[in-house]
Amino acid sequence: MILQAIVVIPFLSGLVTLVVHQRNLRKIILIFTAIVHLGLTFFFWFTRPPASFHGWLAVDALGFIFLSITSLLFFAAAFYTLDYLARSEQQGKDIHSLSAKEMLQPEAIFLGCLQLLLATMTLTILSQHVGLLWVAIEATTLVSAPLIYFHKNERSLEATWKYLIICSVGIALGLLGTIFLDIATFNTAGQRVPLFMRELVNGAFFLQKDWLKGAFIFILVGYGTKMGLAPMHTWLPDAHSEAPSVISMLLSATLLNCAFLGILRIHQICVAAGIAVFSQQLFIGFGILSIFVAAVFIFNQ
Amino acid sequence: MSYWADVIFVLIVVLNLGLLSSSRLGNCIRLVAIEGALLGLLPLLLQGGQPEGRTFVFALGSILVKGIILPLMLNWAVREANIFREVEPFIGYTVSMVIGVVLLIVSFWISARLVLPIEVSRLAVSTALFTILVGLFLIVSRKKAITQALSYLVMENGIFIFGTMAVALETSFMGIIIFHINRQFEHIDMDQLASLKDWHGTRHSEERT
Repeated sequence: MILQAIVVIPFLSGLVTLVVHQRNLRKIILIFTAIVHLGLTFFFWFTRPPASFHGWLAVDALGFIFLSITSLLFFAAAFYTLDYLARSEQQGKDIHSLSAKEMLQPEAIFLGCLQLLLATMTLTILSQHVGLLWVAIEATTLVSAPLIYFHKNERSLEATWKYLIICSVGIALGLLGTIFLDIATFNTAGQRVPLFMRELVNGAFFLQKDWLKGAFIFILVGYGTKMGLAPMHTWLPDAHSEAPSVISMLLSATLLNCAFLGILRIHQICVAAGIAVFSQQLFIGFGILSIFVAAVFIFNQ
Repeated sequence: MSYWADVIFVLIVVLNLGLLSSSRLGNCIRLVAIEGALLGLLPLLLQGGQPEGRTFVFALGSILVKGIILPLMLNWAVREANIFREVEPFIGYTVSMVIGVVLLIVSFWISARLVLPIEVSRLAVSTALFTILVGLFLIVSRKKAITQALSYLVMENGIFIFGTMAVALETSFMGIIIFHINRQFEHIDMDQLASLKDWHGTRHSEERT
């Protein structure tokens, strides 16, 4: 029950924020959500909640670390956002002299999507089913796109388009990887391993190795696009420089983690299936390439 | 039943080749719509025996979304953006066609090595791979934002064959974004969206001269 709450509360509060007209109420909702989320996460430190929703949601050791980071950073970001919005409103008034209504509408979308992003990220971390994991990562892309487009100018639009098209292709490849994983669960005996993490790790020995390798490659490239691994990173510098600073922080510190978590989950299965060497080599290869590209681009800046 | 599935797979290959060579946006959208509707029939044909009610709903839903709603939205975006002009690709149509044939050979070659553990048509894997590769190729070789969204849909169709579970959520979202891009840029040309390029090689050389 408590596991559903930590996903549903930010989701509902995000939806409410989209339709609420009073500015102060919206801010109170944001702070309330951040405090509740952090409180629940803190509660998990002492009592690990049981898996709920027929095992679809659970907090495992790996997810627990990511959940703590996400919750703590969102808490800090919520307070910073209030200050940021107040300042950007002041600047907006000085430059554009927009009417009050024009100023308010983007703010509702911004605050609403911020909380929806928290909800989808929490769902990504808690989901124990690889299909649900994909849906959650896809949802994070959709709700974070309006956040990057907050400033509504040419440059932020370009960044948003790049983010959407490149991450969409990446996540589509992630879906292909997930389907490959599904195909890998067919075995000659006619039994199928369910797509839950626990069953996949326990029954990894029975998975078809060739399809599992294919699944790992597509998921590494697909979620790696969202994580910003080297050859697929091109959306990242633009989105980060054009998004409001608080979003830039949340993208780097929490959203990219969620994509990384998706890759780590498949790695867990590969380790259990005895093809750890294969996945580790790919990790090292992409890692070195990422460092190399970053190093080269420092000189180009 | 398997015979008709094979017919659909062959038709999809032909439609993909048509997409590679057609320049009119309206034509491209129509081809993608036909492809989406054909794909919607696949769940009915691939399932052996009497199809269940659930399969019917699924097939009807995908025909509705892929064959009717998304093409209508793309058509709407074309009208709003007012670009009926021919697309100007980075890679010409004749070359695209040749590359398409190469991609087809590659996907048949790969599919010979990937053995599906389930009993389906031998053409399924190669058609799916070919459709994904064509979609990816179109995304990188075409300039207009709307063609890129369309190519994304093609790629997703390929994944649909693999999984018959993809929901084209993103494309509807892109329709809205395209409209905004048009408002900001007057004409939809991704090539013009270059102010954030990492590499300013050409700009530097202009400054020097």
